[in-house]
This record gives sequence, structure tokens and C-alpha cells, in this order.
Amino acid sequence: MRRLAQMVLTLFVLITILFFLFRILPGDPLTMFLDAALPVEVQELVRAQFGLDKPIGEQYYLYMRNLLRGEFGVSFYYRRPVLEIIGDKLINTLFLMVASLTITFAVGVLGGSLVAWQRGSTLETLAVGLVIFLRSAPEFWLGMMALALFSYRLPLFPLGGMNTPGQNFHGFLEQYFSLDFLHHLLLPALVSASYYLATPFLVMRGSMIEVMKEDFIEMARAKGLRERQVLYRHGLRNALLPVVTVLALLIGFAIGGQVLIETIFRWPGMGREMVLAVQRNDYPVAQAAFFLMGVTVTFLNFLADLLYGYLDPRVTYD
Amino acid sequence: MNLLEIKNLKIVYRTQAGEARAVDGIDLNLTAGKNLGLVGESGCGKSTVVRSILRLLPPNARIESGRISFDGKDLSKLPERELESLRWQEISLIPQGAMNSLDPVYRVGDQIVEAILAHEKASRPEVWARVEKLFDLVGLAPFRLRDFPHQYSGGMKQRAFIAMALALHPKLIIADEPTTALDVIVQGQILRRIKEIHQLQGGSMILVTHDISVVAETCHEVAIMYAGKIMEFGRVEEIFQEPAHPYTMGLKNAFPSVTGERRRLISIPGKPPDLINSSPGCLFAPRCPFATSLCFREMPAEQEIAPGHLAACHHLDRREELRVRAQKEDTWGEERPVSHSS
Amino acid sequence: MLARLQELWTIFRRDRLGVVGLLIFTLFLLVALFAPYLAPYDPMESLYRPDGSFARQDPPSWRHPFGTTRMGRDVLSQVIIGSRVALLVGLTSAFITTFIGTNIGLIAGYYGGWIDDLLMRLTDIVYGIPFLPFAIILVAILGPGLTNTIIAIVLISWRTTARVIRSQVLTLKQRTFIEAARLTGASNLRIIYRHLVPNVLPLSLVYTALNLGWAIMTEASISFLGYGDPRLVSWGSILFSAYVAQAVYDAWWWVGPPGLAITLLVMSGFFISRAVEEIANPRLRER
Repeated sequence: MRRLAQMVLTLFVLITILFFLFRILPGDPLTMFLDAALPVEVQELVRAQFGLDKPIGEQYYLYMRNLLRGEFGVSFYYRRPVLEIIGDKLINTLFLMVASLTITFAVGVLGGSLVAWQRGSTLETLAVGLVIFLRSAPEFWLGMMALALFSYRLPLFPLGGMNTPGQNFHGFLEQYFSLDFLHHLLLPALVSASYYLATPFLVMRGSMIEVMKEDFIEMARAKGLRERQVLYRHGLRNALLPVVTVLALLIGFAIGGQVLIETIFRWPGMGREMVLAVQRNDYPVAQAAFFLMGVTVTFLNFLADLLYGYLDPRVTYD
Repeated sequence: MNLLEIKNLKIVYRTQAGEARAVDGIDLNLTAGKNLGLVGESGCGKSTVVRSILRLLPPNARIESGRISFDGKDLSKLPERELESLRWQEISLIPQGAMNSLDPVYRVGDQIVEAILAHEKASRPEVWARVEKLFDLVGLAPFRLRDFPHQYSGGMKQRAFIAMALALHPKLIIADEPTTALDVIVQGQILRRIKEIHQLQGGSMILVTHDISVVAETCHEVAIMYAGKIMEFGRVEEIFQEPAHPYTMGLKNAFPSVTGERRRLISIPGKPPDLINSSPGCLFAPRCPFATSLCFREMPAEQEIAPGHLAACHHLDRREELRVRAQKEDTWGEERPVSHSS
Repeated sequence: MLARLQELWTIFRRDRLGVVGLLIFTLFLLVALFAPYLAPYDPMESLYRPDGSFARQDPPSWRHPFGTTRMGRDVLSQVIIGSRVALLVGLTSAFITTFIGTNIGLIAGYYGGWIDDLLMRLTDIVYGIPFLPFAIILVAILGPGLTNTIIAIVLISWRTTARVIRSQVLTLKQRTFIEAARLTGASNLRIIYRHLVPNVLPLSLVYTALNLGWAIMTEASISFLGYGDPRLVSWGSILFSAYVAQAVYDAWWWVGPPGLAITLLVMSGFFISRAVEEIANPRLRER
């Protein structure tokens, strides 16, 4: 319950920061976004639409009311309601993010455990070096290199986008659960996964090294369990706990990375849309995209916390 | 027939400072149905010996030589699979660090059930019911099985381990300092419990402890270990009434008497020797109040002073005289009076 | 003091990767300091081949070890000059971030109570802000430029340092020397800056090194998305123009070197921070 209240508070403050970010900063931000070529009447109309002609207190109230109703206004560029544009993009972003985080954690948890069990081997040195290299390389650079190698030199993957162009989809299932979608998803998911990999990998390795020294591991062996059961049921299960803690941090990190990976792979997600909106001075879309990313981070953090409480019986929520 | 036979066991640890001889040529025999006490200060290698029986040595330990046979099987040559089925089924362990030996993320009941199901094909509810009976036997409320380890006190964890150790009626239970974390009264209760139940089942036990008084009412035979070697071995009455080795005499002084007689506790001054660079003589000599120059030069051989009573000391022929002197506090040099608690 | 430094260096030196990291970092620092003398050409100048033709996207050669761009600019010179932006932004943001984060952590941890609550809720909230999107929007609104990039980086990245330092202070507070200082009547400020700071400093340094890499990466990302200062050459902006020109398919020499430079510099930050962590956390040393 306390966690829930905290999440609501975080979101509230985030919204407020957003409000001031777009309004109070030097100069009238809207002037910057408004095309000076637009007729004065249209400019006035837009000002009225955002309530910029009203006092700041009332502006804040209107802003809050609209957000709670899910009204993000109308896009300058698309001339359609923002929610209509952003809704699809949010789903696309989540697909890519969940796919890459799943790969990251699966590989990180298993790989980190494996090198911890083979302490001091050449494999360990190489693997640790590789994940640190991948984390130090810029994500967008990795993406460019991957495209050049695996889509251009070896035409294994498409050069970007989310579906092969020229297709008409009938409904959600057909678009997202097709081989074509998977084919487009794989390379960007793998690139971002390999960039994030260092976090779960190194944390898992460190925590596994500690867990394997615990008395209950020796006990599990003494009980006559198979070595596999000792390693997975007792070792991995316990070493996982610190990794779940960093999951929350990684989610926040990943959503920022989405901006880059979506740009490189022309993935029609929220990150790319936000960058495009900023370039097009499409203020309502940029604001809504940023807001939804903040909500996603906060909400996923909350879920990660709940997951931790579920995995560790010693944790109780008051 | 001997249930367990250890012959000339040598174990070394690789450390940064060099190789440490934790166990240096040990022979031990245990008859089925008998209990053996393995007594010594911490770091004398007693835990290493019992861990090597279950092949649970840490990765930096190596068995240099020796043979451990259990029930006619050579344990060091047993394939992994057979070893796994032998563990707990035939030899179970009550661990030293009972505080941390339960996995924190599983319910205690599930961990005991896990041990049973690793060796028997049975249905879970059936096994659970059996574990409930075991809990009752060791004095724990069966509903506690659903608790997680952090909800247990130290004593409760210890009892849970005893229940777990007894679950499969093993031929041998290794109890590694099973009661150190508990107060003296509970210690007694628990040890009596183990002995009662286990002997009914006809099993044997090795009790590892630093407190010589603990073995008196639990064990039939006692081995006194010091710096990786056995200093004295014999039936428990002989060890208590007629200790032959000065180290045994010292240990007896350092713990409260079993007969309840009130006296001052005298501890042995000094520290156990460095196991990496050992001297040629008797390893106890630097701390022994009766040591002569011979003791520092030559390692004493083990001698049988009475049938089944062995000791390794150069001054065994003077043992009557030494025993009298050992009871005096000033014999042990530095005065370190310890008050008699409990 | 000198003896203490020597002792720290002895511990640091034991970590081979840490020494490698320090070497790489020093090398980049020297390149950045002497960049104008090291760069063979003006990074923005369009060059011509000896035969007088335009040096358009030339592959690596003795004249141009990293080749040229589509505009005929020398990639090596661009990478050398670009190191200045990376190190300027990296070092400035890392130090400001550490300064702010350490102070917030110290104050929250030392005073506790509502001050701690307030500062930690604030930290939680900042954790909810997506870093790169925030930086892009801020730079887009405030206008591109190094100062605005640094502001955007600092506004977010103090959060990690603050959290870590706070928990360190909470452990230190239990120790007797803080109690002793308080009993002798030392003021709060004196306790914080004379007694606590020396103890949290190694940990602060761990995060300075991490923040350095983090800031360099963020600056590169912002420039890559086209929000860098258009008058400056940075590694991110080289990659931006290469990306726009789709050079990755036919001019690997234009894309490879700036990316590798970022990778190496960020990696040196990782290595240094790991080595400093062994100083900050003696428990790690035993492993």
C-alpha cells in the first residue's frame, strides 16, 4: 500500500515537472514550437487550446484535468488526437522493450551463474570482458554496426522498420504475432539486450559467488540432491534476488535506450516518435510521449518491487 | 564389523600463504551402533575430517592420501550418482552453522520434504505427514513446518535439522557442533533427544565438538584431535577417568565437569600451531607444561596403553603423575580464571 | 597524507584492469589537451587528393589513416578534436554530479528524519524520469550547446551517487568516532565535512568514474540525435553525420573510429571505478 501511494506521488511530481518544463523555461516555449508562418488566428487558437492565455494556476488545473482524462490534445503535425498516435507507438515500444529485457535477463542470469560456477576459468575472463565492452559501446553505434553486418553484408535481417512495407493487417493479432514481425523484432531486441547485458550478468555473477559460499548450499549437497538441483533450485533461486533489485534500475535505463534503438532501426515506437516530434516542433506529442515513458518507468519499477517481495519471503510490506 | 574406517587420511588446503595440512594422517574406526566423539579446539581439522566423509570439502581442499570406507564401500572412489544417493540416505549431517544452513527462500517443511523425496518415491502429502510426526518427536509444533527459516529461533532451527537428519533412518549421523549456538540446558536436552531416537533406530553417530564435556553422556568412544592429528583415542570412561595425553587433561580442565563438581575452569594458554610450517616435534609441545627437549625434536608415535586406548606422547609412562599436576591451576602458567557459568 | 596516497596506489595497482583503464584515460586526456597540435588537418576542412580531385569518402591511407568523410573531411582529425568535447562534458558533469550527489547523500543520511524523507522521495522521483528523453527535451527547449547538455546530465545523474552515499553515511553513523565527535561538541557541519567526508570520499570517486562514462555516453547520444552544438566536432556528431549519410554501409572507417573511441573511454571509466571500489570496499579485496 505504501509503495502504491509512493508511486502515485512520484507520478504526480513527474507530471508537475513536465508542466513547468514546457511552460516556465526561458522564452515562451510555444512560440518556439509554433510555426511563425501560421496565421495569427491559428496561433491564438492553439494558445487557447493549451490554455496559455489563462493565469498559471488555472493552466495547471486544466493541464491536470486533461491528463487524468487521457486528453493529450491534438498533434500539430498529424492534426489528429495525440492519444490516437501515441497509443500504437506505446504498444510497439513495449513489445521491443519486453523482448530485449527478457533476452537480457535470461542470458544475464544464466551466463552470470555459469561464469560464477566456473570461477577463474578463461571463459569467465572472456565473458566479463565482452559484457563490459558491450556496455561501454554506445547503443546506437552497436545498432549501426549490427545493421551493417547482419542486414547489409549478410542479409539475414531486414534493414529496419517493424513490418515489411506494403502489407495490410487485419487486426492486432495478425500484425504482432507473425513471423514477419518477429523477423523485424529480433535484431533490435538482440542489440539492445547485448547493451544492457552487463547489469544482470555482473550482478548475477557477484551474487552467485557469494551464494555458493553459503551454508545452505553445502546442506543441499549433503541432502543428496543432484548437483543440478543444488545449483538451480538453491543457488540460482537465491542469487536471483539482487538481480531483481537491479531490474528496476535497468527498466529506467532501457526506456531511455529505446529512443536510440528505435531511431536506428526505424522502429515506430514512442522513443522515435518523441525525437521526431521534437524535431517537428510537435509539442503535444513530445509532451505525451515523455509523460508515458515516465509512467512506464514508474509502473514497471513498482512491479519489480512487488516481484521482489514475492521472491523473498523475508520482505514484508506494511 | 566397522561401519566406518578411515585410514591414514591426509588433507591439505591451498591458501595464499602456502599449503596447510589440516588433517595429517588420521586413523579412525567406528563400530555400527556406537557413537564417536571427535573433540578439539576450532581449526584442529575435525570438521574437515567429517566433511571429507561426505565429500563436501571446499574447492581449495585436496585429499592427499588415505582411504575412507563406509559399509565396505570406498567413499573416495564412489561415482557421483552413487554418492548422491548415499548422502542423507545412509549418512546425514547436522551442520555446524545451523543458523544459515536452511535456505531462506523456502518453507522449512518443504526443505525437509525435499531431502526425503530426493531418495524415496512417495507422494508429497504422505511425506509431509511423516515430517509432521518427526517435528513432534523433536519437540516442534507441526504447524511450524509452514514457516520460513527467518521465523525460527536458533534452537528451533537446530531441532528442525535433527528432524531432517533422522528422517531417512541413516546408518550414521554426523553432528558437527550441533549445539554450540544453544544454552547449556537446551544442549543437554537436544543431545539426549538425538541419542534416544537414533539409537532406537540402531544408527551410529559422530559428534564433533570443541567441548569435551558434551561427549560424556552421548558417546561411547572419543578421539581427541590437535593440529590435524589424533592425540588420544579411547572409550569415553577411560578418556575421562584416565586421560593419558596432557592435551586431553588440559581440555578436561577447560570445560565444566560432567559430574557437576564445582571447580575453577582452567584454559590452555597459547594458540594452535601454524599448519603451514610445522615443526618436527610434537605439535602440542609449545603449549604443553610438561614438554621436554625431546618433545620439540621428535614427533611421538602412537602407543596402545590399554586395549583400545591409544595416545601419542613421549611421557606416557609418567601419566599418573602428570594427571595430578595437570589439575593444579599454576601448572598451566598464565593464570586465566574462567568463572563457572550455568 | 603522502603515505596514505602511496598506500591507496598500492591497492589500486593490484587491479590490472584498473591500471589499464587509467592508462587509456590518461592517453585520451593528453590527446584532448594537445588536440590542435596532434590533428593533421582542420576537422571541418574539405580536403583534396594530391591529383586535385575532391577527397570524397576516401578509404584509410597514409595521408588519411582513418579515411575521409563524404564532405572530404579527415576522420582522424575529427576524432582527435572530438575527444575535447567528450572529456570536457564528461569531467565537468562527473565532478558536478559527484559534488551534488555526495552532499545530498551526506545531508540526508546525517540529519535523518524529515530531511532524509524529503530528499529520498526526491531521489525516487528523479529515478522515475527517463534520462535520455529528458535530456533531449531539455536540450531542445534550452537550445543545443555544451552547457545545456551538462545541465541535463547533472539534473538526473546525481540520483545514484546520492543514494549510495546516504546508505554509506547511515552505516558510518553507527560507528563510535561520529558519536565521539558529537560528544566533544563538534558542530554538525564539522562532523559532516571533517569526519564523514573523508570516509565516503573513496565511494564518491567510484561513482565519479562511473558518471564520467555515463556523461560521455549521454553527450554522444544527444549529439547523435542531432542536438549537439553544430559548431563543435564531437564523437556523437561525427556518428550523426555518418548516420545521416548512411555511411555505415560503404564507409566503415567513418563509423568505426569515433564509436571505438567512445567505447574505450567509457570502458576506462568502468575499469577505474572497479579498482577504486576495491579501495572503498575492503571486503572485495579478499576475493
